[in-house]
Amino acid sequence: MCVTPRRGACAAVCPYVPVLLVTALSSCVLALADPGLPQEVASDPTGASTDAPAPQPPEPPPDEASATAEEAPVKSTVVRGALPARSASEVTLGRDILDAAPRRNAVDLLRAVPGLVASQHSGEGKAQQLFLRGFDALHGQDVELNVGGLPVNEVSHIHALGYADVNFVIPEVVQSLDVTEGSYRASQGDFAVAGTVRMDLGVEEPGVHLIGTLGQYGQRRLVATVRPGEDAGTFAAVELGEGKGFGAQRSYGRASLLAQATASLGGGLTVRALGGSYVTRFDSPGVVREDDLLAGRDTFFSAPLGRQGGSVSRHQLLLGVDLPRTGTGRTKLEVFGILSDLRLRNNFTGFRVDERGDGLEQTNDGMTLGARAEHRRTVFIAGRPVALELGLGARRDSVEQAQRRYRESDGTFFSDEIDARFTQTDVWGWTEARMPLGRWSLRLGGRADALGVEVFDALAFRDPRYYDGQGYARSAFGVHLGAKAGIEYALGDDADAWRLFASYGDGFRSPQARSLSEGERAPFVSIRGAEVGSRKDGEHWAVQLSLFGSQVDNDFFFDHTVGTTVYTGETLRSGLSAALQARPLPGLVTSVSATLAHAYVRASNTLLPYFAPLVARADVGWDGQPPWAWGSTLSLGTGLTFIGPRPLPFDERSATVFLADAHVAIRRGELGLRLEVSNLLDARWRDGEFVYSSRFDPGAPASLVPARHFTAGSPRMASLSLEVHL
Amino acid sequence: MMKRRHILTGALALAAASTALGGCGSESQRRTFPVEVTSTPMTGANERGWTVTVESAHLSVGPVRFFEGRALQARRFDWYTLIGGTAHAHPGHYSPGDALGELLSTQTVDLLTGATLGDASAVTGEYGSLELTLPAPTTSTDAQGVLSGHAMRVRGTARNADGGEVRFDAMASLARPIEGVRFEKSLGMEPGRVRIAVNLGTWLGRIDFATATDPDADGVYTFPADSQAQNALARGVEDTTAYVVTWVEGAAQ
Amino acid sequence: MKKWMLGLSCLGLMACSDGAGTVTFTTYGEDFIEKEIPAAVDGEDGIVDGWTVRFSKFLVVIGEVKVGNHDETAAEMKQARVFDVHKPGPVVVEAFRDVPAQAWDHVSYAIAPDANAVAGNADAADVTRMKDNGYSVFLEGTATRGDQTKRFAWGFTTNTLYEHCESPGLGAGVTVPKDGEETVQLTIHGDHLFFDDLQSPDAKMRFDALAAADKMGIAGADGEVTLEELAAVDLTELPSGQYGTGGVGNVRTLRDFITALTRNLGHYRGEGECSPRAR
Repeated sequence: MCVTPRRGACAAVCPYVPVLLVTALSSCVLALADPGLPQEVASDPTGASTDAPAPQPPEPPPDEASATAEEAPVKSTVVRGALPARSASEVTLGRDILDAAPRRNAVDLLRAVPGLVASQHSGEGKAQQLFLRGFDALHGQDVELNVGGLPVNEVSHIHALGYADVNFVIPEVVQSLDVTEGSYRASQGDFAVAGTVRMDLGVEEPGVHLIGTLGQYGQRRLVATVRPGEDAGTFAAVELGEGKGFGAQRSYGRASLLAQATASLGGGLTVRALGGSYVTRFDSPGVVREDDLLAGRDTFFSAPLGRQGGSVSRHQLLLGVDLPRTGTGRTKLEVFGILSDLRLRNNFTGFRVDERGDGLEQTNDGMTLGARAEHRRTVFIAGRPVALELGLGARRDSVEQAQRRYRESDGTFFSDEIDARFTQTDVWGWTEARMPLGRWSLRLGGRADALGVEVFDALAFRDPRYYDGQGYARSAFGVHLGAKAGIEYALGDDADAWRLFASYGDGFRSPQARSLSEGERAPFVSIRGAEVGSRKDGEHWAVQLSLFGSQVDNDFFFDHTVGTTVYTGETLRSGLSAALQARPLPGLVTSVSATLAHAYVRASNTLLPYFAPLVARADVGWDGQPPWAWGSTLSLGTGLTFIGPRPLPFDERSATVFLADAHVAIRRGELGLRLEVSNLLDARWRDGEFVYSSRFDPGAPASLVPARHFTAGSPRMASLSLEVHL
Repeated sequence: MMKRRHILTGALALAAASTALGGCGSESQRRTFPVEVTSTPMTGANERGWTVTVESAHLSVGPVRFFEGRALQARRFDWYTLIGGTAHAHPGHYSPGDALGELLSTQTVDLLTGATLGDASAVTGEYGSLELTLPAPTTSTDAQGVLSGHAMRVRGTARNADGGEVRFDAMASLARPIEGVRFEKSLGMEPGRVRIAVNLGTWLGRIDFATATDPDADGVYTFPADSQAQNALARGVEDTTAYVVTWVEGAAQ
Repeated sequence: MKKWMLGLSCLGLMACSDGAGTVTFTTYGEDFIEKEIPAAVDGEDGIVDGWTVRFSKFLVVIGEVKVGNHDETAAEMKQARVFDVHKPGPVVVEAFRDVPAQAWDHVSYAIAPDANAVAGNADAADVTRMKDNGYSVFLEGTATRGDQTKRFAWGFTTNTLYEHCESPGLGAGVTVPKDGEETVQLTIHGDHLFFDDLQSPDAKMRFDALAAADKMGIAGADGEVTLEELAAVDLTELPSGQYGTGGVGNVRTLRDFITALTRNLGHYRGEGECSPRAR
């Protein structure tokens, strides 16, 4: 008997009716489900994967990864996603695609994601600014990033909402990127507005692997990876790097350690541990005014203001357990903890606000603890198999934040602006059910996130002339409910037939904790998105096409360079995206994508600035053993990026950016040599462009009319690496 | 960080800080226009009964800034002024809003002949007010030293009905820029220029020249620091209604 | 598992009801109006030329209290009321119930003459006085320095709307807690009337020039400073450096000056400020 929730008067007006339906459906499903039935579902005709129709967990468990690898021992593997895709724009980029173009750091990995533009505007150690699908995700507020199960986005970060710093990732240990664009899957959580990117870690070759790199501009890098056994997911890697940078004030030093171990404890019980430590210190050149460049007061790579930069440390540990399978049910439990400390100094406006300098020093020290449980099983309704996924989790972040202004002359502080600490707890549950019906599949899911925040603001009400206490505390609570749905239709019965998709999803991002008032119902920013697309996952090539749109009710544009929030009201985004991954010839792998997106503010009917309407990316790699190479393996690869002109305020546009990176490598036995060149054409490009008013010369009168500023993109940089594989 | 008992809100500071994204969209465009300074002469006697003939008037002017915020004066005509009352024109908190244009150089201008200050770099939009800085001149901006280190200097002769005649040399400096001078214009890309006309009648309108003194007995009277004349001159010079700002259409001459 | 599903449904129902709360507006004159404005001693706040001011009445007509955001208005006061903020406070101006529980960032109110005003906590005679004379503000009190005493009773007809009210610690507007009550204080800063500059953040409180205006009357200085006497004082005759108008036109006499200052009486939640708009 179904247990249906009470349908009160709310049902007529409540927008959460789909969620109620989902829960009703799930309740009914569970009531009818008889997990004892044998697995007669192997003959599921529309299953997109060759494995069991039980939906597969996001990270391929060791046995499945090796199953894919077994099909072809060299790089020209058959194109199959590690897990079956449930919408048109999910894609898994395997290691061969990731190896095609030079990847100096983790952000270069992210550039392979279709439609994602990453802009580095403040030095090597700061999270990049990300743009995806019409969203300016700033430093991560609209893209959920996850590394092996460890969340990367930081909540209520003092610098930018959803700050996601992936610089701790060592590119050599990333074996695949699982990209879910849009927000149509129930497992996507906070900040998954434009999409989710999950990096799965693993080392390609067994043994010890040492890479030493010397590059231009003082770049030095040493990476050592150890993979003791057959399992790609058990490894340890350490990276040490430093460099002077291609211009003034761009030096950095970093060290990162990542280690993962997977062990099978018998009886189907698998445990996984992933840990890492990371520390970096970097300088940042800040921005250059366009008119200073034109007048010759500054050069393209100059750094008008000093003292900018920062340091970051991050320590994290994740422990996960895959419980023994029960019938078709698989359960995974994970707990994780992250300690992250950040100190950033930025001065984007010079002396405009205060004659002592507008430099801001921000610190954000957080501790994150969390746990999640996921369960997958197949249940039967009226004889039809339904793939069911359930997830529960909780995450607690306790953060201390401070923001102070410092003098340009000597770096001492002259004003405390923020001194707060808060505890933010997010408890969530989600469910998703997929029912194949012949060539059709129906997917329905829902998600609920409850957020509780407690903030203590030490600077409020502390003037001793008027108040005899100090500080002000407040707490808030809120719930976000989201519905996800999708329909899939396969045009043929083979696994590599064209499939058509229509998807809908509610995404969200949590609010900034400090902005909440006492007793406020914590307001999430809610995004409704929909997509129509098709995909074909074929033998040698896979293609994804999608037409997407999203609507945000109360969007805001937070200009963190000057610390003001501009409420824009309703914003609408739409676009078209196409991606192709192909392995047409043995040894050749290509991944090409192009995304056209349009983002505008409904109230004023103006385009959202800074967002590039057209971006395209190509990663092409080839390796083989040419006859003249005496048995060595030669690899060539290139990564091409095209960023179309971005609209700027005052009816201007930024310049088009076209970048080409290339590498050539030769490997014989245990030794290898690799030459990597980024920005091969030595294009002079502007990484970030901003329009606001600033005053860099304290002696001259302030210029208050908004002017163009930019951060210089890197010029041609070459580096040579020696690799030793033992 | 608000000081307790001050009238000026942090709104002004906030407004200055929020000039960041003026025109977050593609509706505004950048443009330039020339800015010129002239004067309108005094007609008739001032409030204290003195009729002034101005021989020379100089002003150190610049930067000139244009803002979107409207000036303080009430937009509607205040009928109370017709019946002799003074309009209660001050609401208290002028908020400049976004900066729409600026001309950053400083120049010494001969008000009787007028001068063009230069081209302001600006954007299109809804202009509401103007901020005028009258700084102390430097040797590079006032090469001939006509201002004697002050922001403004007017020389002339004042006569009253009783036959009194005062040859005066009046100088004043301002501590702060003059904010909130009314300039309301919806500016697009049309050619034209901004003309700032200094109303010498407003500058000199409240001065009682009888309080001027001639300490060095050279026949030229100056205004002592505590005199009514200096007080009235300072109030006249900082009066936003002394500056009538208009948009003059057409290409530059 | 089933229980978990039920729980999820309950959450759904809970999130359906958006919730409402109560916002109570109060007004308060603080010690400067209820007790006295002292002479400044040792850098403490006060009147720098040694006078002490005590109010015996301080009437304001408060109306048009509005809570909303840029899209909609959540609550609006329909009836203006007259308050004597010299009486012990804070005193309730209006309580709005069933205001949707969310952040409302536009709060505004007006201190303006209103022919239909009723008594808040003011005496009936005072309410009549305000309505008959079209006053929005009326204050009565004495200033003393040593053995000198001056009385004053001034009424003003200024019409000011205080918009975009913001408190430095609590933010703009008001956030209504669900099923809770939030109190918003419309604070009246009576000392602002004695400032010696219309715009400078370094303005000081003075009374000398006002006391010296007491020249008219049958026998000369009669101990009462009237608005007519203040209107006879031209600002140019005052010591330099005081009573700066910041370039505002049409403020020429002491009466104009103090009338302009009445627009700065209204504040928000203690030290918070609004943007006053002359109407």
